[in-house]
This record gives sequence, C-alpha cells and structure tokens, in this order.
Amino acid sequence: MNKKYLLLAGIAIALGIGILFMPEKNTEKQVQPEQLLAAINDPSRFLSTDDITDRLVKKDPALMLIDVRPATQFLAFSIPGAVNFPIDSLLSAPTQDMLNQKEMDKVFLSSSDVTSDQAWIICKRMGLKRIYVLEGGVNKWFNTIVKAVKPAEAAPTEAMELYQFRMAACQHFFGSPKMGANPVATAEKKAVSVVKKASGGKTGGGC
Amino acid sequence: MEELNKTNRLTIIVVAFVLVIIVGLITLRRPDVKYSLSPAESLALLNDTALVITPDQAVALMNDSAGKTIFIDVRNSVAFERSHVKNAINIPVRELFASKSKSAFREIEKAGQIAVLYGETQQQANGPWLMLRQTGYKNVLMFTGSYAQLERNLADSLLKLLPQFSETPQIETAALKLISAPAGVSTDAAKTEKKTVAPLKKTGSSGGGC
Repeated sequence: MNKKYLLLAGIAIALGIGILFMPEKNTEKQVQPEQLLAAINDPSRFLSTDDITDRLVKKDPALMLIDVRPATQFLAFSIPGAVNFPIDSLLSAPTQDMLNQKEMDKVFLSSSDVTSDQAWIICKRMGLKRIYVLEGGVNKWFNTIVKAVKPAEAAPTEAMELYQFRMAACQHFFGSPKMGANPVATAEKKAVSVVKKASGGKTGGGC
Repeated sequence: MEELNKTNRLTIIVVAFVLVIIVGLITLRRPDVKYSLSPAESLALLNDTALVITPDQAVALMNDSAGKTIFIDVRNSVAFERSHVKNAINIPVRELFASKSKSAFREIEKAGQIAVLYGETQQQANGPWLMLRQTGYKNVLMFTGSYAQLERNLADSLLKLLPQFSETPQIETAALKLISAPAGVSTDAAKTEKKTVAPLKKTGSSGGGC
C-alpha cells in the first residue's frame, strides 16, 4: 500500500512539473494566424481618402499618417502632414515607439494600399491597436483631391457637394492652383489703383 | 475492506486527474496553423522581387503548358464562376486555412509546382499571400496586377496603361507643378508690389511740394 501511494504521488508531482513547463508556448503576445486572417477579412481597417482629408482639414490631433514608402518617393509627393517611416525599419525601436502611442489613430499609407496593408498585417500580428490603412493610398488621394473631377450636370447633389469639399480641401493644403496665374495681374491692378489715388490727392492738395 | 475502499477511491481520483490533464494537453497543444516566420523574417519577404509575379511574367506563365504553375483565385466563388484563369483553383480568402485548402496546397507542393495567388486587385491577394508565407508555405507567389490584366479582355493599348506594380506612384507631374507653383508666383507678386510702393512715395512728396 505504501508503494502505491508513493507511485501515485510521484505521478502527480511529475504532472505538476509538466504543467509548469507547458504554458510558455502559448503566452506569445502575437495574434494567431487564424485570428489574423479574420482581421484581414474585416474591411473596417480601411479609411477613405475623403475621411482622412476631412480630419486633416479639421486638424484632428489624434491622427497620425505614416508613409511607409522609401524616402525618395515620400519627398517627391506625399499627403500633407504625413511622416515618413520606410517599411524596412518597421520593427525598429523608434518606429515601434511611434506606433505604440495609444491615444493616436495610426494610418499607414503608401502609393497604393498594398505595402501599407503589409505593414498593417505585421503590426497587427504584434498586437498593436488603433492601426488603419488608407484605402487607395497616395495615388487615390492625389487623383481625387488634387485632381478633383467636376461631376456632370445631371449628377446628384451629393456628388457636387463631394466635389466642392475636395476642391476646398485642395485649396486648404496648396492654395488655389487656378489663381496661380493671376496674382501678378492683381498686383498690377493694385499698383494702378494706388497711383490713381495719389494723383487724386495731388489735385486735392494743389492750390 | 475499508482499506480496500480507500485505495479504490484514491486510484479512481488520481486516474481521473491524469485523464483530465492528458485531455487538456491534447486539446491545448495543437493550434491548427502556426507561424514559421518571425515578424522580422516576414518583413524581409516584402523586399524580395522573386516572390511576386508581374503581369508580363504572368502572361508568359499562362501560355506555358508545362503545368509548373497553378493559379489560385482568392476571389469569392461568384466572381470565380463568372470568369477565371484557365485551370485556376478557387480558394476564397476566408477559406485559406480550411482543411480543403491545406490539402490543395500540399498537393501543389508535392508536385513541385508553384502557386500564384491573384485577386481582383493586388490588394486582395496581398493578405492571403503574406499569411501563407508566414505559416510556412514556400512556393506561393503573389500577382502584382489586377485581374483585368490576366483576363485580357481590354484592348492591348489599355492594358499597357495599367502598371506592372500596384505600388508605382501615379502622380501626374503637370498637376503636381500646379500645386507647387503658387509659392513661386506669390513671391513675384510681393516683388511687384514693392516696386510700386517706391514711386508712390515720390509722387506724394512732389504733391506736397507745390
């Protein structure tokens, strides 16, 4: 009987030690592949270019635009207010510090939405929260906001309002490009009108 | 008799305990799919151009009848039924880790073939490709174009306009110059204003000298 008890106690202790060693494999902070795939299937991570533009115009302080393209492409053109963190350095400490700010919405963007989505997937795997992807990327932003296309006469009111919003946003960021030809002319006009006033003063002050 | 009962009860309890732990071990230790690449290794994949197929390369592969390439359509079944690449397999994104899909991938690997994932756009194939790569599939490549470039229903001239990589910047230089111009023009305006101010002062003083 004693031997039996000893044997049973030995088995129990061995199992207890085994349990101690087991959970290490499962306490990874990473999101498991099947969950990550479900997150990829969820389109709510995509933010539209109009939505981002609205938040930029209103100077939303919780918005962080992260351009993951190489520096050359970033300098050629990027969305006003974006910061450049090339995707190669995505896992480096400075980038991760930026991405770990919990009060900000971090929106990845690239020329299209392929590289930005890749950055999103890797960050999501590491468990980062409040990360998003700009749908269509810089190309779409440029082609809808800067090159806003006026809708046809027969288009619904919403289309016209959207066009006006985009035009206003473009002027907000870059000044009015169509007025670019005129400032010289308006300056000349100003010079002419001022000269007239001076001559008027002359006659008034003349004896 | 009493001692026998105690032993029996003890044995039963311990056996039950062991059974519970064994069942726990079995159910806990096998997640169906596991990562085989770390995040850093996954990041390194993104630079590798050997892991993607451009539209030009894809057309060449489609015409090659040696059967070394299998095209995998990640769109939903409705789109697949409407039209798909000849001999393509349909594995919608949701079913990527289903057992049916896993056996399809295993067959492709056994036959030494290469799988090329394509979707309506590169964006659609991107997630599945990265997930498959991270979970250990080594013969999976991503198509960098849109399905229109594989279907080839458009005129060749229109097809040529579509880029080889979705991630090519498409910023029209003329439009870009327009939005960069106002800064330059406004400094000219300031200069002309300054020029007109000087003659004003002169006329003012001449008016007062009368």
